[in-house]
Amino acid sequence: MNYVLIGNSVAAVNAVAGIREYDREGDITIVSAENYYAYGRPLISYWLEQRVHEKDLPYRPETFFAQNKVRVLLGRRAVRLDPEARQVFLDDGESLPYDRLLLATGGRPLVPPINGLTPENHYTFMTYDDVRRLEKAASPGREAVILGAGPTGLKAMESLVRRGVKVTLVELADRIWAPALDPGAADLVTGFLQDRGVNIYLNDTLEGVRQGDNGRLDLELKSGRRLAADILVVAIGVRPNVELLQDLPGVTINRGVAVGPDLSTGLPGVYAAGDVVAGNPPLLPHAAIQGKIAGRNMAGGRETYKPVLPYNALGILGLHIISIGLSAAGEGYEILREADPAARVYRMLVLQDNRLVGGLLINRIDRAGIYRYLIEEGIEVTSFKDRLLQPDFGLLSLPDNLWQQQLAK
Amino acid sequence: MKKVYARPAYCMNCHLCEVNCIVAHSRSHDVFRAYKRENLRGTGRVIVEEKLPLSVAVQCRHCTDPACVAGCISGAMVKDPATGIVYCQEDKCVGCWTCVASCPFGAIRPGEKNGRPLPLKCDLCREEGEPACVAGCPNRALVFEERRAGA
Repeated sequence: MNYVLIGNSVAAVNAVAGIREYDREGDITIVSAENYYAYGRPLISYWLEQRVHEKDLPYRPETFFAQNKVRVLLGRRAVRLDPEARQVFLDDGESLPYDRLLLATGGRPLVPPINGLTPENHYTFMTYDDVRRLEKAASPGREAVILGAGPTGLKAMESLVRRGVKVTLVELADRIWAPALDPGAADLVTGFLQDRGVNIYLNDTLEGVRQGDNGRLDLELKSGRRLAADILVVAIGVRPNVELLQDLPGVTINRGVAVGPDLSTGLPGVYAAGDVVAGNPPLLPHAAIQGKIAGRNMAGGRETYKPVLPYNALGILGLHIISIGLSAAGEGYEILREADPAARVYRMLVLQDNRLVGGLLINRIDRAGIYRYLIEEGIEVTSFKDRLLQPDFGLLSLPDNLWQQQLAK
Repeated sequence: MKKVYARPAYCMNCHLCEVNCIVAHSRSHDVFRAYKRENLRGTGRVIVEEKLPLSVAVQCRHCTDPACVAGCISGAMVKDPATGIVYCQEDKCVGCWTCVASCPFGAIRPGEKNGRPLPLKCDLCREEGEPACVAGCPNRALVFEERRAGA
């Protein structure tokens, strides 16, 4: 069996592990557009603030690829797929035949058309190359404007602040990280950041970029506000890299690539995993789980991917946030909430029909995974609702049959 | 694989498993030094939960497909393919705590050692042989054994 994996990040690496559970011998080739072995993408912000060094970026040790007998083609792009001939063509003209192909091309930063915005006058925040370029500009005392206050913008903000850069966040929504933070939590985080010197403009966006005579950027916002900056980072979202499958009969593209429960795409032998998959939140745990399952299925497994709700753990300047599921929901839901503003603690659980559907924990995150378990399993919580936010909440707070079942695993 | 199983009917809430866990994961392997010099109080990788008179020790279940490993952004958390033990390569951890949000047992706690993040989770004392919590349990409320999956 001949496996070709397009992409060399978390989904592809986990697919290798999945394939090798079933097939020790088949040939595996990874085609990597980037010039690096797989690294944990979220580590780029830690690298930028020098908390992680280059040697600690690899997601798996280099021996992983040799041990699993994987041929890795670095710095090469797949440009065309011929599903009939089961061949994929690379940018240098080489063609690779495959029996099973994994599309694990991920996504790329969404950069909207903005007057005056050019590749040279802005940064994105997704790859190691992005932060290597940003590092040269991010010197103490300089000013940066970050468009988008979601998790990517917030991590970019953190690393720039730690480098001594003065940061302004510009966010189109009425609060920062609106999909994960309800208004109360967003207020808390906003206050925390403002106390650390971060400017935050909400309900606003970037409309024009001009290069001033002094080499600095003159940024015009929708509100009419003008900001001067040395650095502009665009972090408003990602777009799946679907080009390889675009316009091929038998494939459905709905922003991402539509897949069946086994992560197959509809083309014979072609699977997809990670950020490129339609409807999949662009989050690392989801890419890892899908990659593993796709790999197993490519090699003869028969496993179904049960969609995992979005969840995220984000540390920003010492504040720790965990969001799970519908963590920003309000109206129409039952809300349990506990807040201690002095300690910057905020804990909120979102319920619907006596089942947990979301959770948001700031600065007191112990046992968070138990909430995620209750959400994922759709467990009715009526009998222990009053214990959910107790300080000693744990497995024993659950009904006997549940904790006994969990501890027997 | 062999795992630690709790037998709550035999647990007397003495918390010795936590103490023995801390000592086993200390540099000195000495209870006095671990608490008074290395400042490791509260860093047990097993949690004794109480709903008196009931008490039970909770620790990592070393899942077949661990959510903490899938969620780890740095590649620090791994499952040893040979032994099945799920453990953290601590020098690679950046303390994002996705593992804390991932674990369906709440068996990973955010910790810190010498200013570095340290996920507090059971590694079955993989460098020691029999887990220290089991070896030191005075009433066999913790046992280290192979059970059929799901049994």
